[in-house]
Amino acid sequence: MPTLANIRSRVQVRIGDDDNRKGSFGIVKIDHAIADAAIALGASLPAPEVYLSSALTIAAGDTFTLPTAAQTGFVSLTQYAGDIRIRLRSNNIFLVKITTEEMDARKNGRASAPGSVPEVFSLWEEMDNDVQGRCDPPAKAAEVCDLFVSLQPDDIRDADDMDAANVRFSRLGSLSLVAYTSALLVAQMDEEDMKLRRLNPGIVTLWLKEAADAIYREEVRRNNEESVGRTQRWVS
Amino acid sequence: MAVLTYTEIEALMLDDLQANVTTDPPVTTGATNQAGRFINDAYAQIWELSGGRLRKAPSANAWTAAQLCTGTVQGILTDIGDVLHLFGTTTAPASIVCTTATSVTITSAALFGSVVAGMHLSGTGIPANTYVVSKTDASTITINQAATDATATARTFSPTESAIELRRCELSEIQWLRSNSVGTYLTPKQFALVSHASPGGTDVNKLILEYWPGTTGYYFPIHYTPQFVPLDSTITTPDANDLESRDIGHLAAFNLATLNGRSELATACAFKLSENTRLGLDRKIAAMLHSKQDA
Repeated sequence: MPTLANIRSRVQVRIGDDDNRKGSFGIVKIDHAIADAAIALGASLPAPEVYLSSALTIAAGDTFTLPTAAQTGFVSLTQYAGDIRIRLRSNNIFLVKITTEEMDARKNGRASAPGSVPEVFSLWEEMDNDVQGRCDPPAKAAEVCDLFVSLQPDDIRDADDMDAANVRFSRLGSLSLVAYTSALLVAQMDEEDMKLRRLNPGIVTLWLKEAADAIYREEVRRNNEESVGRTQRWVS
Repeated sequence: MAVLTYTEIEALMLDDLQANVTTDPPVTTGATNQAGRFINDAYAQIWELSGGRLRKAPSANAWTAAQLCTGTVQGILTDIGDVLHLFGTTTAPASIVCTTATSVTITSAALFGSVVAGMHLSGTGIPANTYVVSKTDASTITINQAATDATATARTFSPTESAIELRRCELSEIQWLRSNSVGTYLTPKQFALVSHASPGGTDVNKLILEYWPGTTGYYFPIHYTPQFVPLDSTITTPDANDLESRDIGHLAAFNLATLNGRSELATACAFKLSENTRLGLDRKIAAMLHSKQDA
């Protein structure tokens, strides 16, 4: 994984912003452009998956909250993407995810559900990004769980040292990020800046296409990596 | 072609004026006399066009205890015309025991491991503005001017540049960065220079360095162009290149010709100016007449 400093250098070389006495943009502006582009491009890829061992404890009862502390990298607040799987450590069973309405139906009419080992769970997210859950049957005793979750792309600006922060992109993803950020920055240049850096405005379109191609190929790569072949193999 | 010294420039000027004579010369010769004043006027004009030559200063020569500061550093130098490059480095000056031999070669007991070409050198027997030109091995280095003694003692080696070059910006940008959250960096990124009022005149020409982020522990060596220093009895070679040093003589003659009642010589003097100087003077005159820098 490249660091932000590495991506920044590649962007600066592309846009000819490699002279500290004649810079069009300061480092801060370039880094913010990269950080925003990383989130935008990251969102078009499958969300990064992490396995968090013993990260969640369902206390006795039927409600729980997914952890909000930093779980990986430099994210100050864990922000979950779509995929969330919970495995009880006591019996290695994955809980089955159901909808809130299904959960309501299961609990309807039961004044006090008997305590047991949870089998199903449902989730919802509150305004402050806390992800709340209910399980059924309620846990008789506290259950420690492993989490298999997908997370939203990191924001590089949350890093303790942005220079050294890893941009969590592969080689292809990095190429897309460099091309996309460069295009956005060149689009902000006036004619004099472009003349100084020997840039043609038409380069913006080319770089955006390069970025789109690279991120598409990265998506293909990720899909190939996770693919198990044709789905009809189970029925043919 | 070499850079002309004051005596040669004066002779060139007097030649141009057809007055290189000992009897009844039009001006009193000598760097501190009338001829010197005309030559220094011309030198100042050439200097304005050429901007002077790059000088390198280690952090300790340029700033007061920069490594202890957290964003604002007091300057020491009073001859800075413009700072062209400012670097940030955590490499502290190194005190190394080494032996001089009244030559440009210095030796040590294999202690030059951390020394690199370009480092500033100071200490006993080392003249001002001395730099490491090359390192043969960990025991031998070559410096740019001969040491004045032959002793074994500790001398200080200081970096004059580093991989971290700060970007120059307005002070207002530094202030904005200080008061807004834009992410965290552990190395300084940008700087601004402030020239402040000097009550009592003790700090005239000294600069204050404002840098962001205000990380402590950094030294700030600089590359700068100096202010104009006139020729006198001790400074006899202008800080100019070969053609510029000749232009000083021709330009001084050009100025003197009319005052001396020999305006017919002015054209010939102007004709001898180098193309760079002529273009520069043309632009200056055009700018003064039309208030346009690109006229």
